[in-house]
Amino acid sequence: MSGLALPLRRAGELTERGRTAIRLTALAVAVIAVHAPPLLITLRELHRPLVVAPVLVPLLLAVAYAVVVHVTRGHELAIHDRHVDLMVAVTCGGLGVVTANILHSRLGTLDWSLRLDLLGLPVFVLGAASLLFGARATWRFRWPIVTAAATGPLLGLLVVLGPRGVTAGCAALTLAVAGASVRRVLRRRPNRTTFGVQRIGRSWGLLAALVALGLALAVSRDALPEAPDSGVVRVTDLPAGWTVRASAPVALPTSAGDIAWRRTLVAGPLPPPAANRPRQAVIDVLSDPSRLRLAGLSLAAVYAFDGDPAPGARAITLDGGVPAQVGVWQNEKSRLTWTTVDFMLHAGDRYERVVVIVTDERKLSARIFPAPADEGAGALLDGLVALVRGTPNELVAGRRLEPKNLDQAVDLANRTVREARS
Amino acid sequence: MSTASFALRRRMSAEAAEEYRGHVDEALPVVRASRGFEHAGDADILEAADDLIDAVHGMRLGDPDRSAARVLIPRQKHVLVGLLAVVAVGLVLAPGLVLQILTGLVTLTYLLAMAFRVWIFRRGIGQSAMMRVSDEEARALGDDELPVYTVLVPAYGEPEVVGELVENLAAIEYPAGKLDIKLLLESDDDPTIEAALASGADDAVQVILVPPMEPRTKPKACNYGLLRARGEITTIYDAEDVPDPLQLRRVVVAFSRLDERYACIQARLVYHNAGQNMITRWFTSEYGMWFSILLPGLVTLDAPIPLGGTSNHIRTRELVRSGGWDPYNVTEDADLGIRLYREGYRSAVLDSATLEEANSDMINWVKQRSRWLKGYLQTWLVHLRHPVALWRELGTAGFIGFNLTVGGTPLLAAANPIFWALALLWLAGHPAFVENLFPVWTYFGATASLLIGNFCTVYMNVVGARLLGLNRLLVSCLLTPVYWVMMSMAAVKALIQLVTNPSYWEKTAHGLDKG
Repeated sequence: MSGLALPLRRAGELTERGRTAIRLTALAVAVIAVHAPPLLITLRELHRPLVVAPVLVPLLLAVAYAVVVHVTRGHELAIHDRHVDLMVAVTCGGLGVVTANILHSRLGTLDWSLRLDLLGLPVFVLGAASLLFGARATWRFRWPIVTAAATGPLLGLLVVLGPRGVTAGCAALTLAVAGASVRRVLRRRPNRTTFGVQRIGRSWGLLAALVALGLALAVSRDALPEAPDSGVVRVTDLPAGWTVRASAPVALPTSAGDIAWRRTLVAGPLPPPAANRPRQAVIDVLSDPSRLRLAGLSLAAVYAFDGDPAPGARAITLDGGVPAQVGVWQNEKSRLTWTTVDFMLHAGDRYERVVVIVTDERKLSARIFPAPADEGAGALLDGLVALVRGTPNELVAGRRLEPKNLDQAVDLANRTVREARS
Repeated sequence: MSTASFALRRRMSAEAAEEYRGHVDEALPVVRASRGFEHAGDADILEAADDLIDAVHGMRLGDPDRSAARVLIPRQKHVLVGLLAVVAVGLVLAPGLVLQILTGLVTLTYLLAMAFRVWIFRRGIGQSAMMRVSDEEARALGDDELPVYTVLVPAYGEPEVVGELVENLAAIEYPAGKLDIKLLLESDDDPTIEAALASGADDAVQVILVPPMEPRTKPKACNYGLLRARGEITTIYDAEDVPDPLQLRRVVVAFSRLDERYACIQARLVYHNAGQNMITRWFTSEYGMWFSILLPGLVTLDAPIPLGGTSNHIRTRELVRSGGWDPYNVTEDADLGIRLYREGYRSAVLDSATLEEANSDMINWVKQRSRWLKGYLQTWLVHLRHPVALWRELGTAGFIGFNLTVGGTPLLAAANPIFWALALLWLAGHPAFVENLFPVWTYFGATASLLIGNFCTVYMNVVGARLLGLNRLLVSCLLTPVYWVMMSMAAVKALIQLVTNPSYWEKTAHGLDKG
């Protein structure tokens, strides 16, 4: 009797483990299939001392945390509902698919900069896991998932934006939250209440549909548009009346690798005295062999004018079919706005990311180039921050912002493209 | 055994009566094979089969328009198909305009629902519509002045809690000789039967085994028990309920103060495990608001009130005359409240609490709430079968209140995710299609609904908790929007089930508060 019972029990255990393994494999495949671009970028950039690497920390932490939760799990209620599973799966899975595949093409570099991909990935995992393991089992892993979703993009953003102290603080906070959660899990009392086990059907079909949707979207919409070929970008072809006031390389932190950055300040013709606001532009050209690294460089970090991206950002196409992003930025405090056009070109063995920023704030040149070029980006940014903070105007009225000076910015961008491609 | 039958049975057409007799014949072997009928004689078996069919099919065959056995009657189907066709054609010809109109209609419903809720909330806290009977008044009644009281306790698949029944009911201060307590168990629910027998329930109460037959709903069991009721007044408790010991006496006193139009008195339901987790806090605050403020507010309007699941005390004669509970409606209590009102009866609300267990598990909660919302939809569709007659019977305020409360609650909860998504999309990227959905004449209404409506709802919850002395729930009241997400999940599930399995009784697990 016992000789028969033991192998049968083992076989049962193996079968259950096998099922779990199959589901885990399916989950991993689904995640990789739907989130291939951001995962690839993150992995490929790991060896570089740039902003991408630290954002993997929360993901790895979340996985480790999930393992701890699984190992220390208590007894759970056997109350299940397939409708709830499906609702969580469709909502979160769909959101993850959209985030991973549509937002990138719609928001371009801004999306990459904000690392929305890192927010979408845990959300997708939530949905897919609910489908494969049920909402209750997924609920067990809520804190690891929240850890990944909340701290991944946050850490990514802070690494890009913040000084080292903030970054370290954020990392420490992440660890503290995770540690506290693990401690809570370890101290949790098992719940012994059970109610007859209800079998949960598995909807492999829906998972396959989600993955297919993600792949279809990824194929139909390139997550990161390929940069058109061109020559090296110069800033010499300017509209009539516009002149180059200054041009200098911007020194970057060593963590930026071999990215080269040149900033050019151009000024438009003098306006009528009543306007009193000469229109001016800054054209930044960032160059690097890695397209992904350039894309991952946050616009918010580059132009940290103490401002926020405002509603009104959209994709446009420049001359020659070059995809670009128009951004509107605002500073609530000083009530200022400025407009950017951001695009990328492929010049030989390097990529060049060009950002045209146009504003009509007075004395821009005096404030943006107050120091020699070798003082680096910090001084430039400090000058611009001071400029933005210093002169309030009447432009922002708490409503949807239209891209001010858009025509001028697009014209400058088109001229830059034409010049580079000629 | 019973000798009663529901009044509706006597109204059956010849064709329906024929079908009824056919069902009785089919039920005979079922009853004969059921636990509890092993030694019964043929007459008893025939009577039980007759009662069972009366409980299951009496309303469906006697007055089909009152029964939720069919979700939609043919005329409703035609109207629905017509509306869908108009919308479909409109979406082809002028999609933007049609979507704007639909958005506008939903926005208008949101605004009306918000205004109505604020109105009854204001009336609920402004006027004392809740009846109060002091302990002294309740105890002043002599035993000979008290009527025989029937207490129905249906239980199915609840071995965990049925054992508490004896203890809970033993505390009721009512002469034992005038208490007719019936524990209604499905005859094939062996675990619950064994647990009841083990607890000695059969010594304290009458255990009635209901022969197995679909639908497996609480109203079916209650109908079966009601046909055997001896009391002048009938009430329902769940097995785990802990009623106020003086509740039955208070009800007798309250009925003596009311005129003959009043057929029902609803006591307050209160949760005893509010502090267990956030879900129980939300649930407790919601229940407190509903039974202590909104229901009294509806009473002051002389509007029909959807009765609660237990602790509704009904004059047995009127209940039987009305056909009992609809076994196909999964909120048979709400349906009964509306039906009684339409028949000219009124309901009052009594300040006497029955302690219940708040659902503490999210999935369990969604299942329970989906049943309630599905039942509300069933009730709404049943009573809207003759909208003009309904309007005449309820009056304008009652008609509007019925549609907003019974129909609007599940439908708006199901629509919420769509509007939340639109709001998020708008905040994220100002997509043009969202802008097109909200022309000026809708935009301001929708904005008011979003800002003022949500604020008002949270504010009412906070004020309600404060008024009811539930200060410990104030923080959870501020977090109520999270609760709405759960509500929307339940509403979507309810809509799905209304189509796929309308009379399925989504079972709620009890005893979760005991760990």
